[in-house]
Amino acid sequence: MFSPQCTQVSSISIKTLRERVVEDPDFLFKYIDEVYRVIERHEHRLRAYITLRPKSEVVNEAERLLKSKEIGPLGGALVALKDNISTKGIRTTCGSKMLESYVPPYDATVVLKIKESGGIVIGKTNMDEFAMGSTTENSAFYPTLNPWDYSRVPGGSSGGSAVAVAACEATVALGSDTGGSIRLPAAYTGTVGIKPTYGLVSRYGLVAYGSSLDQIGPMARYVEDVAVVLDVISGHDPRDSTSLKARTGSFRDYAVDHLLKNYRIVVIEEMVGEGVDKGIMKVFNKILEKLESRGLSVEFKKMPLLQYSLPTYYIIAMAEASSNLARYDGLKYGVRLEVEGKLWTDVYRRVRMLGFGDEVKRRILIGTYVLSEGLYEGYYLKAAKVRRLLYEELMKLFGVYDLAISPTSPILPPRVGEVISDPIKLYSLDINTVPINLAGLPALSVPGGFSEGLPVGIQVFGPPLSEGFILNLARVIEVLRDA
Amino acid sequence: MRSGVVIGLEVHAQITYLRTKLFCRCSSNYRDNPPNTNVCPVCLGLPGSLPVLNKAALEKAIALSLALNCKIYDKLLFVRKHYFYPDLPKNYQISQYDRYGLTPIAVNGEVTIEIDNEIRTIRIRRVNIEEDTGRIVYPERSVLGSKYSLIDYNRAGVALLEIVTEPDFRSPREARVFLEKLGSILEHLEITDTSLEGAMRADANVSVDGGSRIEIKNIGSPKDLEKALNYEVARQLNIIKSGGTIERETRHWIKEKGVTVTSRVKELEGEYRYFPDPDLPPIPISKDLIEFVSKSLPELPDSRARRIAKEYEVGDYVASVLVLHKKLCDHFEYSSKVCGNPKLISSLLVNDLLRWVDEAGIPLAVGISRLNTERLCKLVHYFSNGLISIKLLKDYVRLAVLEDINPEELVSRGLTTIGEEEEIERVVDEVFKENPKAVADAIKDPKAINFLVGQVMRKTRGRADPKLVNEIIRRRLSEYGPK
Amino acid sequence: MSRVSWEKVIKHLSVLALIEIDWVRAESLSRDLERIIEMFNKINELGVPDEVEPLYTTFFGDVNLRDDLESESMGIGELDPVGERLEDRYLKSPRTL
Repeated sequence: MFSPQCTQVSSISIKTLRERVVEDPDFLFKYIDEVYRVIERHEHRLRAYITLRPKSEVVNEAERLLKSKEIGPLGGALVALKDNISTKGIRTTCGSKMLESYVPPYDATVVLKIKESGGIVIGKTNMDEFAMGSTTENSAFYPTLNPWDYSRVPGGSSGGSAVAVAACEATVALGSDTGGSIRLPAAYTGTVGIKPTYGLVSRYGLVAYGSSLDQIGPMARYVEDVAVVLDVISGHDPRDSTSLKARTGSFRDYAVDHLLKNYRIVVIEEMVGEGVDKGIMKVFNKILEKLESRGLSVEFKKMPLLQYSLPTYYIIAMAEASSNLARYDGLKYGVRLEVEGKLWTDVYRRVRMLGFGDEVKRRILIGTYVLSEGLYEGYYLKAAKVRRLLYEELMKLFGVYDLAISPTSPILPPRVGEVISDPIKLYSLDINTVPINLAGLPALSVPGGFSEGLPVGIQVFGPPLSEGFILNLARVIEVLRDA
Repeated sequence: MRSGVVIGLEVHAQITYLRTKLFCRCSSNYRDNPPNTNVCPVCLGLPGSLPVLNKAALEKAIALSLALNCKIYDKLLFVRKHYFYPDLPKNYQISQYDRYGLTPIAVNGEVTIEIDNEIRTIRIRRVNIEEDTGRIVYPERSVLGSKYSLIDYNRAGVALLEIVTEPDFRSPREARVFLEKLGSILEHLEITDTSLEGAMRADANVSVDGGSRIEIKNIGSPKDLEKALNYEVARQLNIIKSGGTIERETRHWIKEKGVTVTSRVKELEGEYRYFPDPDLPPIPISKDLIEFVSKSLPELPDSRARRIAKEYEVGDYVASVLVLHKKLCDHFEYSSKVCGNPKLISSLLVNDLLRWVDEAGIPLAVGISRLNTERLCKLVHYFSNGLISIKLLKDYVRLAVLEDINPEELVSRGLTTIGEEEEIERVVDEVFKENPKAVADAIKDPKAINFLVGQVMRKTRGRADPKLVNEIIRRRLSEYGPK
Repeated sequence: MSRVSWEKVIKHLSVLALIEIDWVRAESLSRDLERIIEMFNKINELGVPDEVEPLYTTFFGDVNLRDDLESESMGIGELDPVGERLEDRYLKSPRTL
């Protein structure tokens, strides 16, 4: 799905782009022109990008690509990258003043893979600072707006990537998801986004937030595009100790518009409870009906353990964040202060006060708290045990069912400023998405329809390495929705 | 041994025999490189970088654990140890811990040392694998005068093995003997080349008469260890004697001044906020792997000493000194096989070579190359031919080690034994003529001939065979007889 | 925990985490931290048997190990082409003593 800012040419899929470029290489330049025209018209309001590459650079790269032997599976697609993915020679800010001028000397593994497969990096997208947030309002630079309604947020933390894709300012994008940061903005912007099984996509080059929860994933207007990009970026990486060994088969083959299996589908009752907006439930139930009419069985199951998933998630995520962000001291890179005549503790304290925004500071302090002497057992260790229980419950569930389905978010995209002042309110947006990261499972959000003119996302998730089935069901939902 | 002295050691040994660092592919040989040229995103801790364990490091760690008779766990777990310091790139160190269900690689080992014919067992509490930090240098000559510091990260990330003992040492000498033996074990296992600067560092915990523990950091050699501990024990006893109490603190050993001083670095003990490193999932240590390492263990110092004592008939003491320095021991065995006369060679190496390199502060390796096998063979040859006496032999060794003079050279200078009686008689007569009073003394008291012997040796520049000189002088004296 | 003791906690945390805290904002920060920790305390309602092993990672594959083979290193100059943080290739840092 794509938003009103799009034009016909700028809204095409990878498949279409590739076909047309193979037919007529010049089309790639027409396409690039059109995308930059959309950017010119709308980016000043949407503000999806932090760094946009000049058109001339992108055109040069397109020329080089066409001259080379293979245009690859991406065929010249313009790929927007969330600004916490390291790009050699292109500034990588993580949406933070701390890294405002940091230019990495290396490419993340996924960036290398994109480039090798014929993708062209068009720019780095806006995000909540260090991926901490659910609305992209925590960016140290500026908020990104929801293309469907400029008074509302696009979700976060991969808001910029979602909007770039939704408003056709890129062909596809990469985001990152620690507790829902791909799926939530996908839901709020009417796009498709997948968080892969933990370990399927290399994290080498992804600026870490919650290392045991983070994954990079593709975002696109169409399920098939997500599958194509997932094929490109997934796979074993010897530079990442948590990278799964190579698997065979192509995800793209699963993104077909007919059911490959009679999936036994489950809905966890705690995910469709009272807190979910009525309009969203209407869209969700309609999709369920359509799936049932196709012969799929949908059952409901209780999982009371889920009520502990938010505290479990935030204890672990904040603890890991406080550790991962310890390195930002301004010495080698980042906010720079004069060092002569000063003690290191004084310099570090100031650098970190100046470089980090409020939400980041909060999370670091809390993370430090739950790891500290005397509190470790009651918080971090306990949360890790609850995580084990949640994991086992979910795995038991998927011993019986093939896939699970839920609304991605309990509420429609909030207005700018509505949730940001209240941390607890902000965290509750993630209630349906965090259990999945705790268990390392794959999950996708696909647009299921509209309510009050705003997109409604449907979350499909399953056991480890079930991306194929997830993409299949998502594609079918895509078809049924538009029917 | 003073009563009430309790000492424990924490030794850090670099795995210098690895080609690369612990978690990245930078060379581990940092000493020859200009500053900050032996680094990469991983050991610099750049955003997005990830650690990947060096398999060979694991094998070396297992080898050491076996040699120290430890129990080895079946899983390798890494933790993050957090503190802020400029030489620590990520502001946390990847290390190991032993609480909350987390385990080091091995625990509960023991090492035996021999002190004054008594066998003492030193218990090993644990063995850890961890990464080394960068190095801090100071731009001004005086550490205290510098307005800022300079950091070289070449060493950051080099593999370290930490060996922690129980406080089983009852004297500084015991600690030194242990450290020498540990160094020898590390050399024989081809883990650490202890002659490299900074390759083996020790911290010691000392308490006297049941008082608080004082930690002394940064001791670079067994000799320094004994010196530092002797100083510290004396210092503590002095305080107690004058009625003071010992407060728990950390001190540094200042080698140049021969004192320990209070550490200026503020220690936030216990607030390291250890937690398992999410980037390094548990690594299984299989029984097969342990067996594989065990089977390929080289000869360890204790068994080597026993074998050498027996095989070369050099006696236990000499054998035990030889194995303390693996390179020396290798040199001994090789040279004995080539030149023969192992008893002689062992004596020259143990009694002479070691003495001279120590007194002159020459590295052992240099001493060995100056007293190489070729030269040793010549010396054995000259001695067994009677060309030089035992006294001259020792001079030859001294001149070779201190001034790198070839034995052949000395022979051609005429520094050989005068064994011909005629020549000696001539010199004796000269000496008698010049020293009539001494002759008279010697006739009265036979013991007083030493002066006359000395004069003859002086005149012959030491070349005369002392035995023969003695004989001839006695003969002459008896010829003169009491007047 | 009272407001006053939360402020003490924040002071301690700001030392541990080396972040200077703007004391004007310390009060609202106190409030936020208090509410968030309260949310965390919900897990204490759940009784977890001792034998449950904590889950620290959801990676269940074979952990990558690496051969002891070198590859090219970089120089720190790549991070700082202008060289304003370096002196003779060393990284300038504040005093460490």
